[in-house]
Amino acid sequence: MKPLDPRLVRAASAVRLHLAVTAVCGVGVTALVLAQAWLLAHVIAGATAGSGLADLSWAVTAVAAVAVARAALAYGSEAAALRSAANAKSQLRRRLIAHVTGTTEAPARSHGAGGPGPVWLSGQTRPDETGTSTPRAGELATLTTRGLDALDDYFARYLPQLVLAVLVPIAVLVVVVRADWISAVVIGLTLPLIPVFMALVGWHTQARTQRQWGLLNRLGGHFLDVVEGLPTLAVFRRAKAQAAIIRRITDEHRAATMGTLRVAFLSAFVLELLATLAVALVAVEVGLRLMYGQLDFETALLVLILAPEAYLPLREVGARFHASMEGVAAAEQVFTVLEEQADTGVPSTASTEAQRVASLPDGPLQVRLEDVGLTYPDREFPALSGISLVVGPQHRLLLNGPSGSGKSSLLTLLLRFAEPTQGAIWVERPDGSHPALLSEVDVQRWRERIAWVPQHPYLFDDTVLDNIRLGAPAANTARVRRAAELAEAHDFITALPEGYGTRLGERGARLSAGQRQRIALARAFLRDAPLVLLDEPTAHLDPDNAAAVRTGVARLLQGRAGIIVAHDHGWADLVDETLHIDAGRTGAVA
Amino acid sequence: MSRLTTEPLWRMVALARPRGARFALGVLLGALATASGVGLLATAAWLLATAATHPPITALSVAVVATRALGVSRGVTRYLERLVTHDAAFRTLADVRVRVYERLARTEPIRRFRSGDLVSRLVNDTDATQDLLVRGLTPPLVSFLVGAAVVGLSTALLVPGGLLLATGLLLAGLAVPLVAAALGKGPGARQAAARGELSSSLVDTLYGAPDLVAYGAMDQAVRRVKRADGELTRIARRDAALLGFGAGASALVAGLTVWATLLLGVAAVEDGTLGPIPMAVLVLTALAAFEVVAPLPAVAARLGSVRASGARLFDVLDTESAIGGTDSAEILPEGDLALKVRDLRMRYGTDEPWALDGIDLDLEPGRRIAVLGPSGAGKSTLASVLLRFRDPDGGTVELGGTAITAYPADEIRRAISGVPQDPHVFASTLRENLRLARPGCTDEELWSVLERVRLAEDVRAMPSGLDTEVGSHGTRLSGGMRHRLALARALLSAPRILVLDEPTTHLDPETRDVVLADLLDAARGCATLLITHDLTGLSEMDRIYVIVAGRVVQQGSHAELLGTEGWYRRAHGLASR
Repeated sequence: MKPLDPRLVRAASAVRLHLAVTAVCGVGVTALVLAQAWLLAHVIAGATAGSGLADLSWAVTAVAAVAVARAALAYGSEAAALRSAANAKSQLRRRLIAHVTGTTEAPARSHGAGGPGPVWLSGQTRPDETGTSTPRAGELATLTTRGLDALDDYFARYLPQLVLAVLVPIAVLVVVVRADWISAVVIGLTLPLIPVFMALVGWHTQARTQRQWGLLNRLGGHFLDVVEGLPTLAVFRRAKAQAAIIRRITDEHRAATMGTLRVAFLSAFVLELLATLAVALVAVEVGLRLMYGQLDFETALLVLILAPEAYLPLREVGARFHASMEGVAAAEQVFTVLEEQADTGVPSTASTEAQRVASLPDGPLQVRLEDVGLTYPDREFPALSGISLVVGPQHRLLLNGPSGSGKSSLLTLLLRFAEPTQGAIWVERPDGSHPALLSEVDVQRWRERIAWVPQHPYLFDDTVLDNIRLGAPAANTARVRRAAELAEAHDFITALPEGYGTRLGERGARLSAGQRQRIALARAFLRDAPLVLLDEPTAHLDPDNAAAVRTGVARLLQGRAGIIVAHDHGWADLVDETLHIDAGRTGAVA
Repeated sequence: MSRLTTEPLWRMVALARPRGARFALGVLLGALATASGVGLLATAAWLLATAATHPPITALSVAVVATRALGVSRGVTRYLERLVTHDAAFRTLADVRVRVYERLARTEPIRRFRSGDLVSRLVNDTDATQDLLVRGLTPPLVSFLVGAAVVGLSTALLVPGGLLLATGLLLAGLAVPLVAAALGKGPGARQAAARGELSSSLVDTLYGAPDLVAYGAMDQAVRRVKRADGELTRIARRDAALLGFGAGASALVAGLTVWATLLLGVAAVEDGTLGPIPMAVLVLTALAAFEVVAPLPAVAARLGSVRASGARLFDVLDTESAIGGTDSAEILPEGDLALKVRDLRMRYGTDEPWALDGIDLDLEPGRRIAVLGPSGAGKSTLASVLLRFRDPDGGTVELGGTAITAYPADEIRRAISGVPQDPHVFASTLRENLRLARPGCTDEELWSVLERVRLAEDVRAMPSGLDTEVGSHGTRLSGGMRHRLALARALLSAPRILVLDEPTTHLDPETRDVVLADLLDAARGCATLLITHDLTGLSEMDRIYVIVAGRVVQQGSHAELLGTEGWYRRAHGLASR
């Protein structure tokens, strides 16, 4: 990890400004440190030589002025650094969000062009995973908020000290070499030793920590594991016996950690020892030369006061290194995400401006899949292969098959969250004329023709009203209410404390799974699109909720084309055709 | 209790009392280290000022030796201090963890753990004691000790100088950090609110990405994130002006104290009340003295969050046990026991609605019953009563004719055990995960139970067999395997009544049917209570209780219930269509 990541400087203009301000402040602080030392030495030596307050009054006053100036500079640079940090974090956050959502800083045209894509974000690329846990999104949310906040320390405390760690020792050496060259040699020799020793110790520690990391991690996580598993332990009457194990494991953890710390603290030890010892050596050397009359008192005092100042910024840098490196690590993670292109998730939905945009034929349309296959980039086996089917206007199709058979991947293709890796999807008039490749059609206009009800619809921490009109923000209350009635959602919505104005809480926590499904159905009704895609609409629902959702789905399919993906045959009476799909291939109608 | 004994910070410190000697040693070493730094400059000042009078070398020899010794001692004592305090803090952590754990095990383990976030927060709070002891307790004590010594030295040289330094140190070490921490509270709260909105808009945008893109609403969502980001950035920039206070004020106090000391010193030398040599020592001591209080602003800034951690921690430690019978020594009779539940009522607080509102239920030895109902009907609350995580709020639960609350919880769990809701798989080996249900059992017994739950073949296929590490939460196993493992544990514990709380939840339908069938097969002959919300495997049960909104709305065998109009038939008719 570098102390200053060039990508950070390049990425955020706020960082460049901050570096300039920090450098100027650094020069100011260095000048004031020298001035204070010289003034103190001058006044003390003068008073010792018999000068009174009257003779020294200008220098004494100057000491106060330097003190005020240093305080002002300290306040100003800290406040400026925190402002810069706020700006830089905002710039990084905006770039990250623009990148992962596929929007650009300028008003967006086509989503998913270049960015990793929505399915990658929500973790739904893994067709065999039915769980709702989506680590990518969670990690990103943490990274962009708390993770980047660690940059505050980096900007406000670490970088300024880093600048001082370069400026102050050089300035001190320049002054001391003219006053007393032997002291300058002592300081000049010990200063470079500090970074060298620290690097050596740090390197050794890192190797050692890495070897121990697995052990430390396992022992460190044990307590959390046991507390989480307490109900299970209680059921098997093992709860009491675990107390002794917790003590033993925590003690093992202590022993292992102390082993690492004994080495890790060595780096601070070397720093502290060299810095203090050098000051002591300088003091003794200057004192002896002063005694033999080779040096005057004022010069000797100047050297003594300046010597510790040469080491102070280095010590501060050392003390703040670890805390501030958390910020750098967070920034590095941001850059890693920014440099990740579509190859991490699904194939790029590559309709960039450079590509030809085919126009959608007018009027009713049919979708024709021709030998379509899809292989996710990190997968060996295709999720879908050799799929050929036609969905005409108002044609309703049931796709069933075991979980993991690729049913949902087909919807992913139709939504253009991914592009086929084999074959082609055509959009054409019902008589087969005017075919256009789906991958060349304007993606926004295509998606406007689709209403999608996913297996786990996502509800936002917003009102019921705004959740339903997700795809039609301008819809009035009457239309939303009508859509909710059709989706069998109106009754439970009016029973909520504030009806349609009720906020649903994080991820719609206020509602049951069946109610969330019906809100998603209402969204689809309001969308009023000619093609409906339904993914396992009643899986995991209890009978009462399933019945309500089923009624809503039956209504939604009237007069529209639709594809229902389900693992069972419970939908056969609602559709015109049933296709069985297994291991990514269509089979005979089951 | 007095305010002092309820203050979370004091109580956290009190937790460290058994390790008091180690902490005292740490404070002593820390004081030596800090004092070495100040002492070095003071001694060197004396050395120079004396050398300037050109005395014989012998007059300086003690100062020369002292200067060199102080040059070495600071680094050494600082290193030792760090090791000693960290070691003591880790030892205290072990004490605190055990205390927290024992309290949790004795009180109700279920309610607090409905959310995984709460668990990890509690664990973090426990670990915060370590932080308080290393970074919050030792530095102020060290500052106080060394500060007093330095003020003493200055007072001995010149009384007003000592008073001045004392004032400066108190301002820089106490007033400035406290004011800075108080000033930081406003921005902290303001920014936390803005950060919350940013975080929630981010979570919505990232998790809801597919829905947003499919409905063309992504631009709108990104605009919301940018608005939240803009607001947070605006607040943070404005607050920067407040948060710079600490740094500026510390520098001002230190600089002006040195200036005033210089003024006093020079004046005292002029009017002859102070010699030039002590004057040099006085001024340079003041210059070095502010190192003593340098760590304190960070301590003050940290105390707030540590205090909040402590308050949450003691909230857990002060919780009364939620179950009775803990003092009882009653032993359950051997042999088969009948379970009889009468008018059972449960709720999660005096203002809450009844989660169970008068349940009657019987389970005879060797019989199998199911409790069926939609989610939220109160089924799992029933399981938590039977497994002795909670006591009934009304009605009775009798085992073999005696109320279960008359026995110690573990005695009941000897008879009633099984698969709790969301059974935990520990980050250990398969063998350890199994053996916790029956410590000391042989590998043959393990393999035989693995055969019964049809996991043996999968385990044999693993390179390390029973020694396979399953990973945190068993993530290296498939969902079906985790459920089979939980069931194997339940069978190993060989209870007289097997309680299965949603044993196949989160599984996909095909796996669910197979696992449940294997499960019921393996548990044949054992009195079984199956809690479920889906309709699989119910034809095998002797009796089915349908619970809706905390009440039994229907009961009977599968055939009887199918023949009667009601919830069960409606549910079935639908699923088989």
